[in-house]
Amino acid sequence: MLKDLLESVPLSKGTCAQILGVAPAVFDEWVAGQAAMPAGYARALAGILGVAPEALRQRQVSAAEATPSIWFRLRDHRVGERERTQVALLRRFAHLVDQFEAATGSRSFVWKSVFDTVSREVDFSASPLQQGRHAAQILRAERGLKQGATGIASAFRGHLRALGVLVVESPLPDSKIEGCSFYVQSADGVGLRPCVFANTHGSTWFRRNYVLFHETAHLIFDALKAGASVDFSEVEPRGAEDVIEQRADAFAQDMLVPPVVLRHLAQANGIDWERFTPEALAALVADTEVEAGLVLKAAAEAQLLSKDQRAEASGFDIATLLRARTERALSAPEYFRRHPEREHELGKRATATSPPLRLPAGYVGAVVEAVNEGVIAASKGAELLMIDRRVFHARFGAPSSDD
Amino acid sequence: MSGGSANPPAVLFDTDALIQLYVARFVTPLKCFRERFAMQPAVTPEVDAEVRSHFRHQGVAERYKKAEAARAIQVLDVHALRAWKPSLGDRFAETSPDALLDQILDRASQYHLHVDLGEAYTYAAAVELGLPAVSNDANAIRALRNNAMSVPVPMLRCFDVIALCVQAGFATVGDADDARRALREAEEHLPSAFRNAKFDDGIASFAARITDASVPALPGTAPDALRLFPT
Repeated sequence: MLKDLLESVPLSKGTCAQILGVAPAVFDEWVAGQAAMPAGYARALAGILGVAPEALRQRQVSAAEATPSIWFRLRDHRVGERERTQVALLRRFAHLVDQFEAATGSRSFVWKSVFDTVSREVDFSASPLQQGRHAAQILRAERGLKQGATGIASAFRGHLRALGVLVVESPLPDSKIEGCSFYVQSADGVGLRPCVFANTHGSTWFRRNYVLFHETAHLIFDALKAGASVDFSEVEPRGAEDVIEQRADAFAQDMLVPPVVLRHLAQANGIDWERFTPEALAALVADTEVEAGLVLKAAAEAQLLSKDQRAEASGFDIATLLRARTERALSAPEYFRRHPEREHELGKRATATSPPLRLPAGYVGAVVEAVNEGVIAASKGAELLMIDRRVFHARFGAPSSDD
Repeated sequence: MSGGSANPPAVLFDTDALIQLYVARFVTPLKCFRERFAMQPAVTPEVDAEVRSHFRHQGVAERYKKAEAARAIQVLDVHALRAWKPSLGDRFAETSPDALLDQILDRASQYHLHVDLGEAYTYAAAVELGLPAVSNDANAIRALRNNAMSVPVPMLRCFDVIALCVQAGFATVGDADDARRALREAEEHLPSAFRNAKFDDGIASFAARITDASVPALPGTAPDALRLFPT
């Protein structure tokens, strides 16, 4: 059964062994049925694959019956072993986060009522554009962001995490995946955890904000039914019938740059829409934290800019202006030249897996704090950060003597 | 930790403690437990996988596999539980081995929120079955205690079983010190008593937690040490 399931997904045995932290030969024995998979590992693998642990031992169920829908979504021709490995890693990480939050009593399932409210109030007979915009309005109102005094891109990550959504931003080189979203079942069956991922490789902070909100729309509307949503950097032409993507685009745009935010920011920055300058565009991009193209699109749709103005502004070179206004516009080398003291922090967030996953800074800090407070053991801290115990000690210091 | 007249049927090893025996090339404790005290050294399937996957110290996984094949160490399963059950005590009389295994897995999933996989299953099995466990990770024990979870009694350290071998005449003081030196050279954890002292010098301040009741105790043996009786 396990062998068939892995072939159906498909995930290589080497990938599974690596994520579980066992020798390939040991995993091979489990797949070949020469040894029973220990319960602890069966739970972990079942979580990665999205099946019940018992399903890994059953022989009478076909792989077609058992393969969860997320893996069907990952059979796109643009998805290879590398991407499936990344999704498997993300799913493993989601389960570890779930364990950590169960251990520390910090689990949140608020997302469910909030997402339900949005889904319930949206009129699904309306156009996808209206659906997305309406959903954004509802979510902004639900989270107390209705006023629109400023951009919310950075702050909303905190909102998502408070809702119980796992947000991971990590590099996945040589991959066309720009973002994805899916749900995992908690190991104790208490509930689902929504997860969004944005590929940071070759991406900017401004682009990534859009990707995260786009994926959030998929979480609300699509990922639960479809198993997962995957978005690629090389976008194939979207047909007019592509309701799902149009709705997610509209949602992301109206979460990040609704007309009310543009008007407030223009006023705050003394922007004259009639004489729209590169400085004005740089100010709006810096304050909304989205790409210039999206700012211009939103401004034109809100009739703050004419079609001609939008076309002209599309040619503005704002790179230097933007770097002067916000550190978010700096490349990683530029940023660390300015803040050399922070360079070591990045390495502390990397898992020992291949490819490494860059874990959220807040999560890493919380795990280390829980170890220091004795809520979890250092060995568990290492497991939760997907690193070896010795690496944990080297990065964060050894616990008090283990006599 | 007072011992009764009957020894526990088994002793459970956690990954780190077992690996230390192989790194030190000192697996005498496995023999000592079996031959002198009729106690089966055992590991949970999770620890079995961890030791088989160990790569930091060359040859450990291979030597472990040979010991397992020779039954010097046994993996905890329904068959093992069935064999141990008559010696586990009256409270297990009405419980089937399958039910016992389920109880261990339930407890382990709770422990696993706070300690790593091998520790969780080892401690859960030891607590459920009332068996001693061998684990060097005092930090993990503290984490469980902080969360009001039961811990194995007694919790032995790798050097407790090394010391037992010396006391029971299965090894010399020189053998024990060779093991200590090998662990230090491999940059393995050493208890503070032996960090800068030879075995003979450090034993008095180590407070051994297990003792052979039939021979004079080693200096500094803990008053509540588990007393084993030769069979």
